Parts: sequence; structure tokens; C-alpha cells
Amino acid sequence: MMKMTMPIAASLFALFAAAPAWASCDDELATLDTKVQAQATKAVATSGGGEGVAAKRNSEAMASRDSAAPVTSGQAGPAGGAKETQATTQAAQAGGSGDRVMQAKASINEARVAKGKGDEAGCMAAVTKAKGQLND
Amino acid sequence: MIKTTVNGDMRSFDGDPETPLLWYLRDELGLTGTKFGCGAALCGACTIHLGGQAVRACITPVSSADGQQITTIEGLSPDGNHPVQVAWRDLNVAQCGYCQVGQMMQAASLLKDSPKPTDDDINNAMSGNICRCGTYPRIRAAIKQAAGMTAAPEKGAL
Amino acid sequence: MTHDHSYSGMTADTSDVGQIVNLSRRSLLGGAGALVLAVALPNVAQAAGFGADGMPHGWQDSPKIFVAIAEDGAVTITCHRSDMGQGVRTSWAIIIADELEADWAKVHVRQAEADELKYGNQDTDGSRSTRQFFMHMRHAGAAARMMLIQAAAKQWGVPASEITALNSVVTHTKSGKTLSYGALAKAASDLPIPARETVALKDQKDFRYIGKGKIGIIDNVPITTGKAIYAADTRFEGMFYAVIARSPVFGGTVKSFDAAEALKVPGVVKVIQIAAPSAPVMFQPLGGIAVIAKSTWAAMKGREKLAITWDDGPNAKYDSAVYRAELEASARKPGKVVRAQGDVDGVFAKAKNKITAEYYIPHLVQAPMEPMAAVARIVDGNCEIWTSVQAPQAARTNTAKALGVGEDKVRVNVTLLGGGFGRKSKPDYVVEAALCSKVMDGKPVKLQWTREDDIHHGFYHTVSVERIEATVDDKGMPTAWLHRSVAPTIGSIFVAGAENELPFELGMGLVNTPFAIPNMRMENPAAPAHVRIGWFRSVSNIPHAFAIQSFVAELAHAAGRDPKDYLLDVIGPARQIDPTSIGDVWNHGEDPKLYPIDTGRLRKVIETAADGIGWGRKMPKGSGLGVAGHYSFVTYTAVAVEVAVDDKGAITIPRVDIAIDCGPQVNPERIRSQMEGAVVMGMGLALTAEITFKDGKAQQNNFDGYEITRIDAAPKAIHVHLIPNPDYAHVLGGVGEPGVPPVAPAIINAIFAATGRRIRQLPIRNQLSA
Repeated sequence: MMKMTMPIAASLFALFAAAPAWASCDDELATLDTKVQAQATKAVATSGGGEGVAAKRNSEAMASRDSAAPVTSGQAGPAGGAKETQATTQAAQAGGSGDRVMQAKASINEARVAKGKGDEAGCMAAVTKAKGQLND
Repeated sequence: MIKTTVNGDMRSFDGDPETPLLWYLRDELGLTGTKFGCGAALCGACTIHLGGQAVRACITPVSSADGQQITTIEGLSPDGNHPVQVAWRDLNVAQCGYCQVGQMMQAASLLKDSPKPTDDDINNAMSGNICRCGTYPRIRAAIKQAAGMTAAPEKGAL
Repeated sequence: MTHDHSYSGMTADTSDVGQIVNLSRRSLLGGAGALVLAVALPNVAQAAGFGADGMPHGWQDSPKIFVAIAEDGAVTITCHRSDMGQGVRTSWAIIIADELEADWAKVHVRQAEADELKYGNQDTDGSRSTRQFFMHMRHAGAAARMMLIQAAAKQWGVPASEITALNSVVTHTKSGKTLSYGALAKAASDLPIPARETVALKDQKDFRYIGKGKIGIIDNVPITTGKAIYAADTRFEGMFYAVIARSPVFGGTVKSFDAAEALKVPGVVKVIQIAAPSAPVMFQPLGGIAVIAKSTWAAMKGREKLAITWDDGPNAKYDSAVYRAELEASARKPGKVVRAQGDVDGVFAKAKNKITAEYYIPHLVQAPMEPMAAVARIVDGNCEIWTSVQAPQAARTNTAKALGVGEDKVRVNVTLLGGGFGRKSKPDYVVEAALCSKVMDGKPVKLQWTREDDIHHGFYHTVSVERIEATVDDKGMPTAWLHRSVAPTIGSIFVAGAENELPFELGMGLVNTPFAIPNMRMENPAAPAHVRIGWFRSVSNIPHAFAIQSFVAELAHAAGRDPKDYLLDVIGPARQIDPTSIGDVWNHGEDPKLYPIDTGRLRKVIETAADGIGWGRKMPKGSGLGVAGHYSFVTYTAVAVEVAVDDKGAITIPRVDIAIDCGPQVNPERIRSQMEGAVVMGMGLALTAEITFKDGKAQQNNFDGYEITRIDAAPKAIHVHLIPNPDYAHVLGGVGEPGVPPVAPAIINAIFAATGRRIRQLPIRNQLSA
């Protein structure tokens, strides 16, 4: 059977990108695509594969991100120690363990939908939202 | 003073006669093979033989065992090779293993009463014994093997 | 201490209290007590990384940590991951003994105490022990083999390359001289550990144990003779026994209590209050009133005599029926967008055919057959614990914190687990035991949970409403898909007030739904938690798979299509999807490049399960076949079910086929057993199991109200199909959890085929007889 290495979503994006250009929003989207992909991968690497560790890191990273200050419960979860604090901090930096990355990806999609309809202003508004979600 | 015979040894107990046999066996005698699962005769983890019958030790007071013979997993066979124990090992029935003592004690009792049990016999006898790991298909197969109704599986290469 | 803690059938050579197995006098190559062998390699823990690299304390692979060989040839392998029935103790022995070329008859397994700095990560969850440590354990075994060969080479004065190892014997191929491992152990233990990059792993064609599927579980004899040691089987002379009365409502506290009657119960020696937890609750004890006695029975009777007035706290009104309505209302409104591709709203606005369904799945409790228990004592400021726990390090850390001592003052010895299913990842009960011992001046105390405690004070599986809307084209294929998942999050135990599913929950079969549908959106409206939410075997995959796999079958019916063919079409052609490209930012912590979602493998398990059950065969009236597939824990599983429904609505399940592709297999025998068990557990949650709340209190008490599958209802035939994946260079997938998610929807789909009735609410109970 044929192996398609390009994901469906990405190929759809490629179709949209090939549409007549509103260069400014296109440029923004290209930059955001790279950034969001890097942050998504970083979120995977900072979350941990265990249900316990992922839950604690996700939770505290999301809360830290939302409060713009490190959130640590003071309680001992699945792991403690300086390295674990560092991991949670890194996870927070990776879009709140990817929570913001997920939303930013959705905003980027919203921008592309707007663009596909010829709505440059809508595209830029969604791009701005995505940037805010990535704290860019 | 309550006197019992546990796995062939004479025992006496002068504590609370309402103490369930489960806690007498485990806490007093150190026979920890018999397990606590529910405390209400709902799961069968504590199954032992009292006077030759399978009973739930968690709701059976010591007083009702006065003058009787008790058999636990530790006394089911002298060498751990009762046919159900052998079949349980042959078929790798256990996952976590916690309920399996109760399962084997119940199965041994079933086989004494029904040496060639039907599926319905197995359902009737074994449905009081819960296995949360879900080993039921293997329990059924192991009972049939222990009954000589099916051949033991080919032994592994090791 | 009155028993031997080494479960592998060997005789421990010491009865020293405080040592589980002291091998120091007989184990010469590494091992537990070999004092000359401090941790030899730097700890590889990193704050970020994929797989085990990204876990706290990472991994270790030193042979001196994991392998000990005695002069009599006994090989003792240390397993640092908890065995709750998934068979990791056997798998560790298989992996290490194979690379070591050990004689299987000489292999024993020792359970590691909690010490992640020494052993690497021990948190046994996420279906990842074998997946993340396979290569590291191979390295440990192979390095030990090289040291033995090197020792023989030195002794004989020949090159190591002329020496082979097999079955615990090394042979000089030119001269035919041989030496046993036992004879070489001492010399080998004096040699340096070979550098990691020089360790030569076996060619997989030479595997003798890995993947062969003929090895019985290592604890078979102790388990079948009642000698296996679980948490509550640890005994000391003069030990005390404790049970605790906890608030019947989560978040409740003791207003006042009177222990006078309890203290009159013969055997009761002390009644103490344990403080309520601070927020967030995490793994802290719930607090309450502990009754400490000279026997378990006296403690239980004493607890019954307590007079306690509770302040029920903020969750006093929690009512699961009302809560369900709240979840449904949330699911009917937009929520936080967690994945979007294409233009769902645009398609919805224009579409003629829109199909909508809502699915409900209640709270569950793990209910392992072994209720939680721990034995603790404190001697000279050192706390020692014996317990069954999935998270040994968390048990240690939390106990140290509760006692106000350093972790070096706490030793946690891990017994066999009588089931875990996620519950024993939360070591609140271990801390309770330590606190009880502390008030008894450090004397040994066994803390016992009853079944009622387990059901009333759980870390419950979430409750959820899953709503899916889809439009279809004129062939009935979906053109746009909107899935709203509303469920209280596990995050609420870590950050008080958290109301949205975490990325790792969303990555369990929601955002990573690998369907060939051009327009998709997933939303997660908020849901406050009113109980402790925790992991339950396969976690959020359960509600997600139930809804998605049911809904696809509903679409197939609307399209007049065969549900299996339709499911395959919705999945689309075989392709590899980078999970991050569709918004999964967890991917089970695995490298997205190494672990793409492979829809070809998903298709294959669905086809295999369907073929197994004889998909398409003519069924008698009242009987039907159903199928469902799901990707979780980087493994592909599918279930095909045959059901029969009689005219009174009673359901029987004569046969189930389950197919799994978990990559290369270490112990096919245990993979089969895990799939069989997953089918039974999945069946229980589909048919009967449910925890409901009224006035904040769980309404079930024991196995009468919380009904899980028994042998008479279990399928007589469960056929497990293992998809071969013979290349061990390929990455491994998980096994313990991925069998569960597709079971319920496959049953639901089969019931629809049998009766034309679509079940959208679990458990089914008597819905068909109504």
C-alpha cells in the first residue's frame, strides 16, 4: 500500500498556501508554522510518557503559563527534585506543555480559512491571536 | 476456647469468637495465602475449606469452626502440586495472582464434588470468585485440565 | 520478620529485619548488597527528552545494578518496575537473561526498592516499562555477558573473541575448555564495566527467550502455593493494625469525634486524627480518624464504633445525575478549541445531512482485587515500608515529606501488586501507614483499606459527555466532524480548580484521531471536578474510543454501509501521520519521528479482528457482530465481538477476537494474557460498572453495587491475534492498557447489529430490557 508521509492536514494547508497570495499573512503563517511545530515537538519531549508525570507537568506548566509565574504545588507528586522543577519550567516554556500550542494551531487554521475566503483582515486577526497564544 | 485443626495442626483460640476466620488465619496464624478482597463474601478471594466445604473466610466466624478441619492454600497439597495448582501453572492463569488462591480453593472444591464439571457447573461454582485481571477463560481451561478433560499443553522449550 | 520476601522461589539467605533480600554474601557480580559497587555510571536523567530520557531520573543500564551472579551460579535479576499482573518481572528476566546467555533454570528476580537515582525511573504507568527500557535492559545483560567472557579470557590467556557464552557456561571454542558463570562471577565482578558503545547486543536471530512465548511467569510457584507476598502479607511480631475513617465526601473534614466507644473494643489501642490535606490534594492522605489495634478485626470493629461529625465541605452537593446534565449543557456550547483543521463551520452551514450523537460514560473505580495496604515502621529515625505501589519513588518522596525527614531516611520495599490499574500510582495509603507508625513510636503498623474504603474514597476514572456532530456527502462519507469532550481532569488533583483536560488526556484518542476527514474540530469545554480524578487503565482513551468508534458505526448505518468497511474508509489509506501535525503535543512522550501514527497498522488490526470473528457471516436473529479499533500507548488494537440478545434484553458474549500490533514482542504469552484481561475489564465497564454520587457520597459500597464481570458472564472464547513484527530494531509499543478502549464500542456496535438499538450511555445494564 502507498505510504503517504505528508499528513492530511499539512497537505490541505499546502493547497491553501498555493492560493493567490496575500503575502503578509502568508509570511506570518509560514513563520508561525515553523514555530508551532518546534514547540509541539518540544512539548512532547518535556511532558514525559508516564501518566503520572505527564499529568503533573502538564498541570503545573499550564498553570505557570497562565499565571506567568512558576506554579508548584508544594506537594510531592510522582517526582520531585531540582531536575523535575526544571522539566516543568521547560514544559511551561513549551507552550504550557503544549496546551497553548494546540490552541495556536487552531488559530493558525482559522487564519488559513479566512485567507481561503479572501479575508486578509480575518487572517491577520487570527495570526495575532496565534502569536498571543504562543506568547510570541 | 475454640479448637480447630488447620492444615492438620491442632490450634486453639481464645480471642473474640466473632473474629472472621480470615483474620484469624492471617493475623494470628500467619497463614497469609488466604486473601482479603471484600470482607462481605462478594469476591471469593478468602475462600478456604471448612469441614471439606468451600467457604468465605471473611464472613465465617471462628466460633463456627470449633472442632472442625480447616484447609487453606498452604495445606491444599503437601508439595504444591494439587491438580489445580499444576493446571494453573501450566496455563499461566495468574496475572497479578491475588485472587488465584481463592479461585484454586473454589476449583478444588468443585472438582471434589463434580470430577468432570460442565461449563454450567463451572459457572455455578466459580461465579462467586472475582478476578479483576480477567483471567476467566484460563480459569475455565485450567479446571478442565485439572479434571483430566483436556490434555496439558505442550511444555515450553525451557 | 516471619517470611521470605523473595518471590521467585529462591531461598533468601537472611532473615534480617529490614532487608528484603540480602544477596551480599553470595552475589559477586553486582547486585543488591555488593557494597563495592556503587552506582557506576552517571545518571542519565534529563529535564527533557523522549521516552525514558524524558522521565524523572531517566534510565540506568549498568549490569552491576541489574544482574547478580552467585558462586553457585544463581542469577538474580533486579526488576525496578512494579508487577501488577502485566508480567514485567518475567519480561525483565527474559530480556536480561537472553542477552546474558543465562540458563533459565538458574534465573531469579529480585524486586528493587524505591531508589530512582540508582535504578532510573520506576513509575510504572503509561504502558511503557518494556517499551522504554527494552534496550537498556538488553545492554545490562549484554554487558554482564561480556564481563564474564572477559574474565574467562584472562584466566585462560586467550582472546575474548575465541570465547562463546551459552546457558550460563562460557566455552573456549578452540580448546573446548569451559567455565560456569558461577565460577567466573568473582573475577568478572572485579572487571570494569564495558563502555556503553562497546557493548555488543545479540543478533535477534539468536534470541532464545525474547519473543518466544513459551516461558511461564516467574512467580508461578509462589502465586499458586499462597507464598507470594503482597502488601498486606508482611508481618512482624507485635505489629499493630490500622484502618481509617475518612470523610464520605471529598474535601470534607472532621468537625468533631468521640472515640470512647471505639477504645472500649478489645484490642483497640489508639485513636488518632489525621490532618486533612492542603490544596492541591495530589497524593496526600485524605485525613480522618485512624483506629489502631492489635488485629485487623479489632481495628475494623473499633472504626464502626467511632462517632464522627463531618463537615462535608464544598462538594457536599455533588450529584452525578445533576452533573451529567451540566456536562451535556456544556457539550452543546462551544468550548476551548484543541484541534482544528479545515472549515468545519463553513461546511456545517451548507450541509444537508448532519448527524449528531452524545455519549455518556460514568465514573469508575479501579478496584484492584488487593485493596490498598502498607506496613510501616520507624527505627532510629529511619522509616521502612512494605507495600504494593506503582510509583515507589512517589511513595518515598511523599512519605519523607509527611514525616518531615529526608528521603534518605525512607526505604520503600515493593511487594507484588494484587492489581493496580492506575490506583496504586497514588501512594496516599503509604503515607497513612507511615503516619500511623509515627504515632505508635515507630512500631510496625499495617494500614489496611477495606473494599468500601476503596469504592468510597477513590481516585475515580473521569466521567464524560462526548458529543460528535458530522456532516456527510452524498455517499455518506463525513465531510466535517466536530467532537466536544467534556470531562473533569486529572489535572484537578495537581492544580486546584483545573477544569480543562490536559494535553496528555487530549492526546489519548481525541486530538490524535487519525481520520481522513478534511474538516475536523475538537473542543474541550470546562468541567469542574468534585472528586479526586485519577488514572484508570487506559484513562481518557476509554470515553474517547467509546464515542468515536460508536459514532463511526452510526454514520455507517446512516450511509447504509458495512460498518467495518466504512470504518476503514474513514481511517483512509495507509499512511504515516506525524502526531504533532494534527495537534497531539503528548504522543506518550515518544519521539514523533520514531512513533508516527501508522494508519496501515490500524487498518490491519481492524481487518485481523474482523477476519478472526468471521465478519460478514450470517447471524441468527438476536445475534450480531461489532468491531472497533483504536490507537493508544503507541500501539494499535482492534476488537470484534459477537453478542446475542434474548427477548428479555439479556446480553451474552460468546466470542471476542482482539488483535494487537504493539511492535516487536518480548513475551507473547503475557501479551495474550493482557489482551484477554483487557477484554474482560472492557466488558465490565460496558455492561455493569458505574460509580454514582449523591450528596457528595459514592452510592456503591462493595462488589454488590459496583458490579464487575464474573466468570459466568465472561466470554467463553477470547481469541488474541498478535500481529507479528519481527524486527527488534523497530520501536516497541505498550501492552498493559491498549486492549481496553476498543472493547466497549465493539460490544455496543454488535448490540446494534443484533437488535437495531443504539446504546449511547454506559453501562448498558438493563437498557435493552426497558
